Amino acid sequence: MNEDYLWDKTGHDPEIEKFENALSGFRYREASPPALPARPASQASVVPFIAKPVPVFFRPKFFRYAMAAAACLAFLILSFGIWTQFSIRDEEDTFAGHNADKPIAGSPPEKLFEENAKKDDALQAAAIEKRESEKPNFVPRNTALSIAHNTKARHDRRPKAPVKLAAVKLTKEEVYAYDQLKLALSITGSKLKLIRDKVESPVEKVPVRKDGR
Amino acid sequence: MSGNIFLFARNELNAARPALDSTSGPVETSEEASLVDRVCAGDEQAFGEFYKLFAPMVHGIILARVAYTESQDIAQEVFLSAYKNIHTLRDRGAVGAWLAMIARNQVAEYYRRAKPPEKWTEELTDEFSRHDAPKTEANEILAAIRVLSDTYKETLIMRLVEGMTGPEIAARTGLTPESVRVNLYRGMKLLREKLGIVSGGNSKEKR
Repeated sequence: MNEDYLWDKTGHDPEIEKFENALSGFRYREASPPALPARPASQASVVPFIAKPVPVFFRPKFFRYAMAAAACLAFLILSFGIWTQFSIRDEEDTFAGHNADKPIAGSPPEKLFEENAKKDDALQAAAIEKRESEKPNFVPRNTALSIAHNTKARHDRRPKAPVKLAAVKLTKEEVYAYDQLKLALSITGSKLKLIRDKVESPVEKVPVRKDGR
Repeated sequence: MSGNIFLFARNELNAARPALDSTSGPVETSEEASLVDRVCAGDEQAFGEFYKLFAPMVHGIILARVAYTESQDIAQEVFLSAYKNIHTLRDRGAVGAWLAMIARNQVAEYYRRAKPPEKWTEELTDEFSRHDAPKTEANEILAAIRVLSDTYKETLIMRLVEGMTGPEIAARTGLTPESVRVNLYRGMKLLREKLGIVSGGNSKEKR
């Protein structure tokens, strides 16, 4: 078989020529092109269409991704700005509040707790007494049993005193670490509260402080 | 065996690359692109040139699958469909491959409309033999070509029936010249085996 003849009809190959002659009856008959339908206005154009390469930036897919990335970046910057503003104010407030409650250097924390517990007890006792005084006078039918029962019931109604912590001696470093931890927890808690309020409530205008911040 | 598989894989990979024939590559691609632009603009004369340029290729693809008497009508439908949708073509230089795809789809659509699937196998052979009956030897050769794979039968029909050369086939279909050369060589080899022609001999000797 003459490969050159098979490729570009260079030279001769009787076998291939025989195939060509036999199959020539099936060749395409030159005919006029089909009648063209009327084109809709959207496709018709007077000016010849010249395909210009679309710059990468203006391709729809790239543009969509770029817009999404820009929106995310803007949101992040805005969120960071708002967070920074509130965190500065919170730190000032928390610092002021913390200083007021800060125990005297060297005093163990359980003393504070005990003092607070005593204060709570006193307040609760005062409230209970007030309640008791407002109630109508109870006249017992029976004597000793009802008095004892009433007394017991009255005592039972009183809230129980909180459990006192066992005295634990802490070093100065431990006390300092304890204070720092409390401070960090309070800051975190206030920030979380702010974020929650921000999310749940509409955006409100940040008031300008007297000192300009 | 592994060599054949390697050749087949290389052939398939080459088929995906655009045509870069030295004789009729870039220049003709730009001419085709400008022709497509003119057709898009509504130039009827340009469409006539477009039809004349690609009709043999389209007809060859259709004839590989459909009887001769139906091939002309389907070819007309292919060009009508191409005209309606040519504005959607992004790569103007790949119009040949795009047309080939439309031709194959039109043939599939023809079979979907004409006959139910269960009757295809028994009636297809009858249809070929009935419509192509007067040319016995030609029928036999054409039937032998049609049982080959799509790649070989399309290329062989374009070469042997439509009279296109290898470079022309590469330029019109968008295949690489190497791919077309391989298809022609292997297609001819398989065709001769189907027809029972002993290699190197002129006469038919049935095995």
